[in-house]
Amino acid sequence: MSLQRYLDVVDDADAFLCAAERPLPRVIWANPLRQDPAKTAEEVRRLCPEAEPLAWRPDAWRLPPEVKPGRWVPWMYGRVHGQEEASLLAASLVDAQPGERILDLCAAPGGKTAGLAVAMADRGTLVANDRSYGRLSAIRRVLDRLGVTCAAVTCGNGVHFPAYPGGYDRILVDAPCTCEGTSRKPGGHQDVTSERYRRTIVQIQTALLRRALRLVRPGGRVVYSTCTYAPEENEAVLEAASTEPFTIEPVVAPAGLRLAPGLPAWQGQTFRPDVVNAVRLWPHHNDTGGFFVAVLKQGA
Amino acid sequence: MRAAAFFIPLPEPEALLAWLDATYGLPADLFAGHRFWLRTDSGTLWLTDAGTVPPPGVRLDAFGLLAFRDAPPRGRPTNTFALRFGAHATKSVLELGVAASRALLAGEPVAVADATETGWRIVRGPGQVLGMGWVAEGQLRSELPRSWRLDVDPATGWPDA
Repeated sequence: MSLQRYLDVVDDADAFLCAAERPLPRVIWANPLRQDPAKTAEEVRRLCPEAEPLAWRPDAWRLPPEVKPGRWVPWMYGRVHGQEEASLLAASLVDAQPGERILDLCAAPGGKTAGLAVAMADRGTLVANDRSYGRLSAIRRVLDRLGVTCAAVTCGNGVHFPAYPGGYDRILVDAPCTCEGTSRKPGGHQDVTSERYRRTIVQIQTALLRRALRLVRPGGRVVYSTCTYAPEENEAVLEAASTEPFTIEPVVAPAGLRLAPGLPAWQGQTFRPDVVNAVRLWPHHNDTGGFFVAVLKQGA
Repeated sequence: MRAAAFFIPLPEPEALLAWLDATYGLPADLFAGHRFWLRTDSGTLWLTDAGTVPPPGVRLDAFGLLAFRDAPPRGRPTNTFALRFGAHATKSVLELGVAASRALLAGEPVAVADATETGWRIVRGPGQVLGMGWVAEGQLRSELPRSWRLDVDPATGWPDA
C-alpha cells in the first residue's frame, strides 16, 4: 500500500499501518440550533449507552462502529449530526464567531460547513461553495436537516472565487486531495495513489490557498486542511503559497487529542520554519482518520 | 447549467408575517432576527438570518432556509420551516402521542377523529415538531419526505411508555 512512503516520518510504523486498516469509530455531535444539547445528551444515552463523550467536545460522542445513528429519529430531525473526529477538529480551528462573514471554499458534502454554522450560532453570513454542482445537494441536505438559515450555497470555481467587499473574516480551504487519510472509511482510499494525479491536485491546492489568502480581510484567518498525509499536498503547498503574505499560527492541542507537528523537510525539500506550527493527525494517535490542518493569519 | 438564481428581499413582508400569525399563531416578532427573500426565477420564499448578505458575483443555489415553495395562501410552509418555528405555533396544530407519532414516521395512516376541519397542520409529537401534515376526513396524511420513511427507525424517537 502507498502508505509505506510515510514509515520514515511516523513514530510507530506498525501501529500506523494497523490503525489505517481498522474501521473508523463513528462520532456524532449535538446540534444546539434544534434542541438544548443537555436534552440531546439524554437521547444519545438512551439510544446508545456505550456512547462516549469526547474529552475535548463534551457535546460530541464516539459510538461503536456497528451503531447506525443515521436511522435515529434524532438524526432525521437534525438534533445530531455525524462527523469524523479529525474533521471536527479542522472545523473547530476556524473558530467561527456569530455575525462574522465566513467562506467555506470547498464545502461539499457539508459536514464542516454545518460545524461552522453552529459555531456562528446561525448568525452572519456563511458562504458554502463547491465547484461541483452535483455535490451541492449534499450540502443543502445537511443545512436543511440542521435548520441553518445563515448559509448561502454557491457553485463556483474556488480558484477564481469572487471577492466580498471588505473581505471575509475567516476562510476554510478543505482542499481536494488524494484522501490517503480516509482508508478507514467504507469506500475511502484503498489503492496506490497516482503520482501524476498528485502533481495535478497540488497545483489546484496551491491555487485555492493563494486565492483564499487574497479573499480574506487583512489579518483574517485561513484554515488549510486535507485528509491526506502527503507533505507534497500539505507543507509543500504552504511553502508554494508563500508568494502571499501569511504566518502559520501555533495550534493548542485540545484535551485528549495528540497532534503531530508539521514536517520541516521531506525528500530533500525544506519548508518555511513555521510549518512546524501546522498539525497532522495520525490514525493510531487518537483512533481517528488521517488529517492535516494549518491555521494561517493573513499578513506579513 | 441553470441560470443564476436571483434573490431579492421579499417585497411587503408584512403580508406574509400577518398570514403566519393568522394561520399558525406565529407572532411577527418571532422573525425579528430573520429576513424573508424572494427567489425571482421560481417564486420560492426563503428565510435567512437578518445579518446574512448574498455574496456578489457567484451563482447562488440556495440562500438560507427554503420557507415556502409557493407563496401563501396557495402554498404551505415547508417541513424545514415547520421544524424550525413550529414549536411556537398556537393555531392549526395537531398534537400526536407516541404511538401515532411512530405510525406517522412509518408512513402508516393516522386516524384523527377529533380534527374535523380539512387543511394543513403543523404536526407535533411528544417534545418535538414532526413536520407538516394534511388532515381530511378524519385522517392525517404525512407530508414528510418519502426517503425519511425508508431511513428512519420510528422506535428510536421516544422511549417505550
